[in-house]
Amino acid sequence: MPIPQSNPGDAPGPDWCAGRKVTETHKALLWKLLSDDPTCPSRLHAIAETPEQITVTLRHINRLRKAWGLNRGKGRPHRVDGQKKGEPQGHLVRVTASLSFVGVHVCEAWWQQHGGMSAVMPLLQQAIPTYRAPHPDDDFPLLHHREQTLRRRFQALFFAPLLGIETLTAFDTHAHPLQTLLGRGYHSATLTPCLGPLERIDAAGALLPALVPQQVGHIAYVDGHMIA
Amino acid sequence: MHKGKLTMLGRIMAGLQAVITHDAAGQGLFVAYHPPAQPLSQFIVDSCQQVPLATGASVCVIDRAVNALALARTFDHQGLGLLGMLDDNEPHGLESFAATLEETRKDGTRVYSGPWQIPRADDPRHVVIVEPVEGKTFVSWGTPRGKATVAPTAWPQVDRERRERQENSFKRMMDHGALNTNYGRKKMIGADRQQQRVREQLDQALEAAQKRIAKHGQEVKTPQAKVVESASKGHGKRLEQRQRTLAVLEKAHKDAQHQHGQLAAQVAAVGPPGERADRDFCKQTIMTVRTLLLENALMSFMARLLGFLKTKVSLDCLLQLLFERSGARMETATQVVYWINTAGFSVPYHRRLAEVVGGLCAMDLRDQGKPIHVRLQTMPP
Repeated sequence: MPIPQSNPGDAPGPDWCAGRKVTETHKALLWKLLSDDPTCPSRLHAIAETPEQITVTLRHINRLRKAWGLNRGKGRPHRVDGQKKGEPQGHLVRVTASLSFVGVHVCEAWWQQHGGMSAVMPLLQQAIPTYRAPHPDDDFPLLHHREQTLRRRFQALFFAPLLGIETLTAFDTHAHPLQTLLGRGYHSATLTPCLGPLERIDAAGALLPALVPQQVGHIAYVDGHMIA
Repeated sequence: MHKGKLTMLGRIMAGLQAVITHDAAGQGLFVAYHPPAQPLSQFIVDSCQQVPLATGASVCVIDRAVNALALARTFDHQGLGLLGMLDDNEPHGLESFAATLEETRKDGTRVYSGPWQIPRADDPRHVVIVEPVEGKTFVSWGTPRGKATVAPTAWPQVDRERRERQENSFKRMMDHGALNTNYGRKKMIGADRQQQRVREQLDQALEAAQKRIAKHGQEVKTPQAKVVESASKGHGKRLEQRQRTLAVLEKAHKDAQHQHGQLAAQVAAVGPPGERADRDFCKQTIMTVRTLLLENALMSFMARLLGFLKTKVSLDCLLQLLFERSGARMETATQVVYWINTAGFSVPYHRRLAEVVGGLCAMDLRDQGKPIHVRLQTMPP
């Protein structure tokens, strides 16, 4: 059975694997330019004047256009009445040609849009002075962490199971997309010393209120779970 | 090879026991860890007492519990509601309860409720019996507060919901939330609970033995006086009878003293209060809170996404279809575009993912204010 073509999610994406002649960035630039205006002729100055000069033949560009389905018909470029040029997508800021765990990135964006760590961070930050009051002489890095550092490290722990990372040592042995997800890659050497101080400031007790939603029903289900 | 006693200092018992609480929407609310050596009913009482304080919920629904009566009493004394299933060994049909018919459902299932047939002292449990036309009778119980909050006819449904929500949630968290992973190897030194239990039992036995000695000591005095009296008066047969009685009582007194001595020796053998090591659950609790936060976030994401889908998609399916796929990302000044690689997908999976992608586009996702568009990367790699 043929795949339905009318689905909005089916708009084709480019094959951005770097080739021998055209790098993945060049491909992305080309793709963006052609998506903006699929009728644009390959010989046009716009392609030649891309920020990074593409030094391949016209034939190569045409081959890529055909592969992406962004080739135009034969003949002189003309615009039919009512056919408008594609909406410009703006300047290209960043291209990640190979991204693992795409869904986690999309979910993370949704999560950040809906508060993200907003329930967790105040509790963690409050736990630090609460610990400091009875232990004025104690000094360890977590007590001096910026909010951003604490947030990123907790987020690394938070998303780890979705990235197939169960133990902290797996941060070193598994390829993970934390760099693209959080803007920084983490290893167990960073996160293990983060979990220890969290234990010292009793983050477990401090974080429990973050689980409770604003409105709780009058029924709570309680069950035991044994971990071998 | 002998590895020492389980309670030996420095050796910790494998495993952990977590008590996890969910609300009616399936969101994780609370978690507490306990050593595996601790009796389950004891820490369920501890945890359930913390749950109303932490969450504001007034009724706890638990599974079939050990020591249900003790739990019910504790909850009732504190004015809290508790609903649970009755142990299979306890009910003996409808005759055990003074049950009245509450309703007869369309399928012929009859629902009864009422207290015990023979009143039990200090048993606050009210019982609901669901008797289907065919199959096993379902008996659940609740404290008076539970009965006041949830209508008895709804108890079986509440119990089914608990099972569905919690057991499915545990499965999901084990699959993609690292719930079963152990974190932290730190130990904390505490009292040797096994020794404490042995000592408590011995102390009780020793106290009883002392009472017996005192009692027998008193009982011996009268026959002794009577024997002296008979001897002084020159009784013949009566003296013999009194001497026999005295011998029996003296033997009982000696036995009691001997038993007391043995118990005292056992108490001495137990020695001074010992210590044992238990796992420190702080790191484990932090990571389980993390897991619950993640699960709550995923459930909310799913609920939002399902609102835009025509067909139902499970979270496991979504994780495979969307979360674990590779692809590409492009960010421009005005938008962010994600492509999902669909290579190797069958046509039905491709269709389903296309529907999910349509749902994601309809969710109005944004990254730093820029709209996010999700597309399928249909070209072969």
